Amino acid sequence: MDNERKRQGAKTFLHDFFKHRQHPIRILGYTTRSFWLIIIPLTRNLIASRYDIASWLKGSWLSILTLIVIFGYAFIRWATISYTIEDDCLIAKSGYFGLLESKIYYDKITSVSASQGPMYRLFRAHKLYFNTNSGLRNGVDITLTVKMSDYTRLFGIIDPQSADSGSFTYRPKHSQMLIFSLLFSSSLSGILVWSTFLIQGSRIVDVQIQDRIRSEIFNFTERVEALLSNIPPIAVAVSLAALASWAVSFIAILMRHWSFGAVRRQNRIIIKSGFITKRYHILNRDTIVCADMQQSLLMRICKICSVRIVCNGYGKSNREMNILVPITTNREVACSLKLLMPEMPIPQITERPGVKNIFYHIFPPLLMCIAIPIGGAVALKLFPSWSRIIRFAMIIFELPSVWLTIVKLVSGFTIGAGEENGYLRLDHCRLYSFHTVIIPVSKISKLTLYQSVPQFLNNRCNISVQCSSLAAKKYIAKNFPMEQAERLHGKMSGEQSAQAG
Amino acid sequence: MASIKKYRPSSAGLGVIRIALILASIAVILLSKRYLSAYPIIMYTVIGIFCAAAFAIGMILLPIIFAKSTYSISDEEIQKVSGMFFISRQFMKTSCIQYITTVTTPLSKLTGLNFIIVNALGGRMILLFLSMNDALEISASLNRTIRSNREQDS
Repeated sequence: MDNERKRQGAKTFLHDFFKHRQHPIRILGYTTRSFWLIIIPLTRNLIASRYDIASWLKGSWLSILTLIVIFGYAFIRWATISYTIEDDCLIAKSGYFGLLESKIYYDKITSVSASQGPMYRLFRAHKLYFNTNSGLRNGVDITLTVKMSDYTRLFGIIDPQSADSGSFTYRPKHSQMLIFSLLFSSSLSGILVWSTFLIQGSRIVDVQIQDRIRSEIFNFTERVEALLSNIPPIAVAVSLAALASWAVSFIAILMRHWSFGAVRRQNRIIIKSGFITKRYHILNRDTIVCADMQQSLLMRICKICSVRIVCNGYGKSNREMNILVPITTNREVACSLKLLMPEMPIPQITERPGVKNIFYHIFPPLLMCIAIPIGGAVALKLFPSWSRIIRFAMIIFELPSVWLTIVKLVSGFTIGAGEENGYLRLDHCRLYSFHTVIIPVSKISKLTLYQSVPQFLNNRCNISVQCSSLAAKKYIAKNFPMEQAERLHGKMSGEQSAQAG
Repeated sequence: MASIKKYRPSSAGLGVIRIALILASIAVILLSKRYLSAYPIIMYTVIGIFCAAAFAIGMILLPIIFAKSTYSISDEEIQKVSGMFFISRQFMKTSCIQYITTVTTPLSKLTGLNFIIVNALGGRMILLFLSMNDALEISASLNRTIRSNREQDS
């Protein structure tokens, strides 16, 4: 009888313990990633000793001990981190050894993101990221790896799907996703993905294999160099690296956003995406700070754009993009936005700085365009033996400068601002991309009109808008006539006081 | 009128820091004797500077900081007063609070190493070295305020 009670007690304790703990797969996440470096030779030694455990233990005791310490530490971290799902809040003990106890009410959450890679899918686990409008700029408030049952329960509370809750779905075509990936893949992000892969891979893969890959790349470059003997080898290497990293970036973006879909349900937007790693985001629509329609020069010519949204937590981790509508035509953007964010209008532009002072926009890139050939000519005089490399560098730097000059020239015609029904529209240009930002006036925390010396002389100014969210950047539209900027400010103040009243 | 409750850092926390400083000083003395004994001038300078700094921090600076720090909590606002010679006052509206994080270390009933992180719109405020009872009371009261604000909003 006594034994039975003890057994029952132990059972209840274990049940409670596991109920509030993360999925055991998380233990692997708490180990150092280098532990594969120990496991691989250990396994090799075990096979080499023909499964003679005694001699294996004798020969590799230090490695085994290190492995035990690594897993022991990971197990303690896992065991001390716990969470409780309540009806109105989530209580989580996080941080090192569960020292931080946080209680987050669901309605304070701006976004919840769930990701499930192949490994997690196999073990029916989900990684969840909870974000609120507080804390640090790039930090996630709480990260948990939960079991399928808890995932279903949590998402059932945060995103209840009753029969009367109508939903509106936006799903782009696969061809649109291909265009989106083509347009937004860049060499830089490719290099980032590539280097992450190499760094993580180098910890696991043998050094010999790495050397082999390196020599293969070198041989390939040499062969191409022989083919294109008139082009300097460095140019071939740089071009190949750029092309390869662009391809990697393209595939990474495509995989990350494949089967993208956005659903509006009550005051939430649910976004699903991903091919290998499935991602699922629930965004609180009340906490979305602004919508940003982005275009490159090429997209502007083709009359297409991509709509991003700024909501704290969305698009923050894993080089994800905060997209709402991946790609759409200029004509369809209003319909897509109305479907997902019906309360957000696209205000008409009422204030335009005009093309009178267009030189203000193109002056810095134009200066670069002129400075590069002059600098190159001087360098050629000083270092004639380096002429091929200098010429190549000149072309490499001159091309983006010319492109930037063209973009800034176009931006001189497109910059503008307008206000309608408590929403501000700001059309501006940041580096190579054109942005149309729509911000609710109530979410603007700071509006600055500032002048440089030439602007002071011309009675013009820049408009800088800052939003009340950690996730939002500063939006700057340049070179407005002072009276236009003040008129816009007056309209917004009137709107704000009307809202407050 | 809204009731304001004042809290002060626990003196146990000050004691723990003092003990940590004494232990660090002993460690510095031992390490200096072990590795710098060949250079007595450097050894005595290092020991002297470290012990003087530990004494100044433990006996003068920290008691002033602990004495001047207060946390006032009302239904509308949290006020944190801190500093040593230049007193800074931080105010946070309770309506801006997003969530509360309570940090309790092992044996914190004795050590006073309890902290509360108040996460609000765009920033956070940390209430340091609270006694266990104060930390639990503040945490419960702030969570109550968040809940009542939610109910009012809805």
